[in-house]
Amino acid sequence: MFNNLSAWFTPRTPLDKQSKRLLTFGSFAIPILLWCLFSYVPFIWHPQVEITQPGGVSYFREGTLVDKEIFQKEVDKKLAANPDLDPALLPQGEPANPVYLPAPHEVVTALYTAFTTPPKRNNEPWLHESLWHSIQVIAWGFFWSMVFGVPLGILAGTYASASHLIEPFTEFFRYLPAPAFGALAVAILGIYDAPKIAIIFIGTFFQMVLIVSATTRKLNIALVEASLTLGCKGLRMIRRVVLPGILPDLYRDMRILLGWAWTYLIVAELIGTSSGITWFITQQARYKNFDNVFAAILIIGIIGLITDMILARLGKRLFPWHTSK
Amino acid sequence: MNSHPLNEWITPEIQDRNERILKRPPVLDIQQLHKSFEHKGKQIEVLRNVDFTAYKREFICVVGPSGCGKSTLARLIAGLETIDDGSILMDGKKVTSPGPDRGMVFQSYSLFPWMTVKENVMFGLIESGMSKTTAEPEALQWIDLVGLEKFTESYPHQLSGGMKQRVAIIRALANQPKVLLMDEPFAALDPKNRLKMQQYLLEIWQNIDITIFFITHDLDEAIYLADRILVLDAHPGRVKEVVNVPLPRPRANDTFLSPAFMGTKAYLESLVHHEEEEPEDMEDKLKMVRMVSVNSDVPDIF
Ligand SMILES: Nc1ncnc2c1ncn2[C@@H]1O[C@H](COP(=O)(O)OP(=O)(O)OP(=O)(O)O)[C@@H](O)[C@H]1O
Ligand SMILES: [Mg+2]
Repeated sequence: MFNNLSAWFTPRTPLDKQSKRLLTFGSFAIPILLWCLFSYVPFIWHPQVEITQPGGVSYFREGTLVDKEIFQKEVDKKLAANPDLDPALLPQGEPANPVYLPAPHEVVTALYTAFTTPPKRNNEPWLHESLWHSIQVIAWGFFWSMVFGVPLGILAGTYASASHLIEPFTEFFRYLPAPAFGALAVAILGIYDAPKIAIIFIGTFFQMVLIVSATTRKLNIALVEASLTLGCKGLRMIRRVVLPGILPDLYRDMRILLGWAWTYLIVAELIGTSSGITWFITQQARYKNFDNVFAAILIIGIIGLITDMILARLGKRLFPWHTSK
Repeated sequence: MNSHPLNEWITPEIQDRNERILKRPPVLDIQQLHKSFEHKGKQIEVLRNVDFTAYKREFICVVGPSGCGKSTLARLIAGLETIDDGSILMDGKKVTSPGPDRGMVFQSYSLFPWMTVKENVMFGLIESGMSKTTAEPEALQWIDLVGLEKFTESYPHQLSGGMKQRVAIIRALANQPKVLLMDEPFAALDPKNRLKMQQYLLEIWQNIDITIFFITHDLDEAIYLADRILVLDAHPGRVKEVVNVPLPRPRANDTFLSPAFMGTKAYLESLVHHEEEEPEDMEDKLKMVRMVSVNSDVPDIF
């Protein structure tokens, strides 16, 4: 079946279609399989007991989860008090996982019900509203990052003078953790979306300047020199040669940085008034609806993966001359 | 002058042609040119006291040992490097920065990969202020000239090496530069393609008003193409000699076999390779290679 299995173990060798498909499938199937094992096979982990019959224990209710040892202790107590007790009257339960590890099917259901369940209070947003809010925060933060970061990066990558002016400070600032500016951002920008957008901006802007300047520097200098000998210089040269020359790589950089923006989102949404998907997650965790928490986390992953896939596809169309990657 | 070893092949016609070239107005005047690079805090002198004048519509080749500063000289003329001392005059004006009057064709392919062949050729035209509508037919004409009509809308990565260089040449020529600088433009091509490209280049050069400054390390190429060959010496680069090529124009197909050609080549070889680069060192390395034992299934036949 896999006549070129050896390709799996040869460095940097392209795989055949079948192997690629199998491995891509496996990359999702393996973690899901592990999750299923932990959830559905009773003797793997399952450190708690879900009560099916309280059996006279005062604090046992049907459906509550207790640790195995506590359950056993209560059973032993009952037996000690009355050794001839009918076993059917003893407390009974099934092995269960803690509430924070919902089973796959519960999460899959939650993926749907989370959207259809109305919020607890009237003034609270639905899940899709929360998500949309998050996406807007990311989009604005990233937009402002690009508006300033890309031109500065290109300048720094093109002119040594700009590089010396821009990069040292950027290099320093990029080590300051963006969340550390949370309190400051709230003090300056208020409690609503502005400080959140600012955190995403701070988290991505400085990286962006440095990454874009590195990308710009990788542009084949012969192209710049050729354009100079053809009578093109200054800002015009940047627009006509540097920018299109780095565009495919710039696009790839943006895809990677967009991923980072999502990681800053969670912190950003916690400052000021909690909002968006993070608000949903914390709220659901408070109600111990961990299936919803998992569902929300999955949705973030799915949105990220899908946007990246769309952008990758789009990139291939936008840059037909770019043969590599 | 009579003592020069190549004089025996200089026929009256060739002599006459050479004299006429030298009477033309100079285009490019290199005067007392010096250039050093700083490398790890040390100054490395690359060009010393280079003096040379190129005349209108002349074909000049530059040869010299590797690292003697040929590329540096071309880049200085193009304005891509700063001049330390001395000057380069284009039509009497000092060269300070790159400009469209000096086109350049690089050894590495330097076509803009995001532009089609047509757009590449139009690039310089548009930069010089031409409108798209006038630039396009002009570009197409150039593309026709080098037989790439079928590839007008292709991207550079879809072309072979020879085609890419043809586009690079017409991209530079479309701008109508006074001097075309070419830095080993055909070095990466196979011999057959190279000869074809050389013929193309001569054909184009004969039909337009342009001076070509062509760098090569291939002596055959230099003799085949040039009116005069500028021979540089290494460490630091200096003008060793300017050789008049004793071959009639247009070049005959069998010119490579003529005694004049071979004589010139032998003479150039004596100029360029007068000092072999550390031959003993190489011999040592070879000895070491021989001492390495190789597991071989077949017995040594040497
Ligand atoms: N930007 C630079 N910085 C430092 N040294 C340089 C630079 N450019 C060239 N050199 C040095 O200048 C010398 C001449 O280089 P150049 O490229 O002009 O030689 P060349 O004659 O074109 O050689 P080749 O035939 O190998 O192309 C070399 O010793 C090289 O190391
Ligand atoms: Mg060179």
